[in-house]
Amino acid sequence: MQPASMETRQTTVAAAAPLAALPDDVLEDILGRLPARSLAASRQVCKAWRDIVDNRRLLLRLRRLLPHSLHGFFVNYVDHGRAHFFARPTPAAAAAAGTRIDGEFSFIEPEQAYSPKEVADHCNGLVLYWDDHKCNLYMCNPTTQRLSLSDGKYRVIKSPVDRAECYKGVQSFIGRSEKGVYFASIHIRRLRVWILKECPDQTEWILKHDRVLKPDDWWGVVCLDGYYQVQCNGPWILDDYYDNGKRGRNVDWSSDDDDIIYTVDWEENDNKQDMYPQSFHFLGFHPYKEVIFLAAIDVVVAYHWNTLKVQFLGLLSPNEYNHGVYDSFVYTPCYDTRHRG
Amino acid sequence: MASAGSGDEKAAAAAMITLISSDNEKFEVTEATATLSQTIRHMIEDGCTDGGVPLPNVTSKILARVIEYCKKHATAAAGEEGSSSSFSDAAFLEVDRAFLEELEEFDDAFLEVDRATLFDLILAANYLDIKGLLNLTCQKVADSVKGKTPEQIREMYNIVNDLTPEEEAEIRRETQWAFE
Repeated sequence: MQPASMETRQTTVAAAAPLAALPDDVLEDILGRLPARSLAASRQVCKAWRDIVDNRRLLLRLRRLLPHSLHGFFVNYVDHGRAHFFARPTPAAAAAAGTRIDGEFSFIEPEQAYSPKEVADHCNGLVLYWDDHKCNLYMCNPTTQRLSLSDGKYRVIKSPVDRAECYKGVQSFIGRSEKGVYFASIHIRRLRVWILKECPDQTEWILKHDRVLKPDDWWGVVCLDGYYQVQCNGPWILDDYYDNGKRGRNVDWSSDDDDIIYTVDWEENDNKQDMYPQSFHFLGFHPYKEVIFLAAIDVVVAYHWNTLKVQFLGLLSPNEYNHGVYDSFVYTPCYDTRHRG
Repeated sequence: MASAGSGDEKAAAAAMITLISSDNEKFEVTEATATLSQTIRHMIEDGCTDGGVPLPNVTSKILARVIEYCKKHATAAAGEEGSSSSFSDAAFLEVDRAFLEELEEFDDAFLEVDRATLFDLILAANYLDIKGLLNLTCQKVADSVKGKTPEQIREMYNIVNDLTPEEEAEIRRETQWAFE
C-alpha cells in the first residue's frame, strides 16, 4: 500500500447527509440508545428503521428489564366457567385494530359451552390457559393473539411466613415489583409486605409494611354512584362491558389517573360494627411500582402501601352468577411477535 | 507513550502523523492524537503511514473538527495514565474532577453543530473508528429522536415513509402501547 501516491479526490457529500445514509451498524447504535416507547415508535418511521429494530432485536434487548406497561388483570371465578379480563376500556379505534385483550381467549378456538376455562399462570406477557373440556393447556400471547411454548427457571427462597401461620389461614403472595422480589401476606384484614434483600452470603426478607386495612371505607364510592353505574362506567371495567363504555380512555394504567379515595393514615381497625368483608382478595403486585392491587367483595383498589394511598379502580363481579374470585394475574403485555401458533 | 508531566518537548519529539483529507489538505498530528482512531492505530502498527494517511471519506472541514476532538481527548487520556501510576491523594482527585468537567463542557460545545455536520462527524467517527466520538454523536441523535412521534422524526430528518398502510397498521397493532 502506498498511501502517499493516492491522490484520490472523491466527491464527499458535503451537504445534508441524510440519516438514511448512515450504515446499519451506526443506525443500530443510535436506535439502541432509545427507551422502549421511543424505540417502538421508531419502528414506524420507515422500512429501514423497522428492519433494524426487528432484525437486530433491539426491543427484545429491553425485555430483560421490568415490563413497560400494566394492562389489567386476568381473573378466574369460582363456578363461573370462564376467565375475564379486568382493565380500562379499550378505545374503539384500538379495539377495531384488534388490540383488545380477549378474556375469553376466543382466538384459540370457538367457545365450548359449559367447558370451564381458566388462566393458570402468566409470565412475560404470555398466558397459560387451561381448557377443562379438552383437558388442554395453551401457552398464548393475548396481545399478539399467538400461541407459543415457553420455559421457565425457578429458585427456592424460604418464605417469611412460617407453617404455623399458614395453618391459621394466612394467605401468601410473591411477585416482582419496583425494587425486586416482594412477598405479601393477608390474614383477615392484616396486610404485611416484605422485600427480599439479596446479599452474596445470605438472602433475607425485610418487613416493609404491616397494617390492618379498612376495606369498608372503599364502599363509599360505590354507594354514591350506584352499583350498576360503577360496574359499567368505573375507571376499570370487565371485558363484558367494553362496548358500554363510550369514552376513548387511555388503556394503560397510570397511578396519577384514577381516583384517590382514601389518603388518610390508616389506623388500627377500630370499626366496632364489623361489616363484610372479613378478608379481602389479593389481585397482584404492580410490576414496577410499590402498589398492591386488592379486592374487597367486588371493589378493586390500588393500594400504594408506601404512601398509604388507596385508588378506586372498579367492580370485579361479572353479571352472571358466581361465587367470587379465586385467582387472578396481573397482566403486562408482551410485544414479541416471534411466537407463532 | 506520553507520561504525565513530560511536557511539550517530549510530545513534539514523538512521532508525527500526516492526515490527508479528501480535498487534499494535510494535517500534522501527534501519534497520541491520531491513535484515538483505531483505524489509524492499525495502520501505524502495520507501518503504512509514511508519507501521510489519505482519508478519502473525510473532508478537511470535518477532519479539522475530528482532530480538535482527538487532541482534547488524547490529553485527557494521557492525564489519566499519569494519575493512576503516580500519587492519588484528595487534591489530585480534585484536579481530576475539574478536568473531567472541563472535558464534558468541551464535548457539549463540540456538539453545537448543524445536522449535516453532525452526520458527517458520525460517518467520520465510524470510518476512523473513534469510539468516544461515535458515542457522543450517536447519543446526540438518539436524544433528538427520544419522545418524538414517527411523523415528527420523519419531518426532522427528511425521511420518506416507504411503509405501506398495511405495514403501518401491522406495526401499530404490534406495538400499540407506544402510541397511546
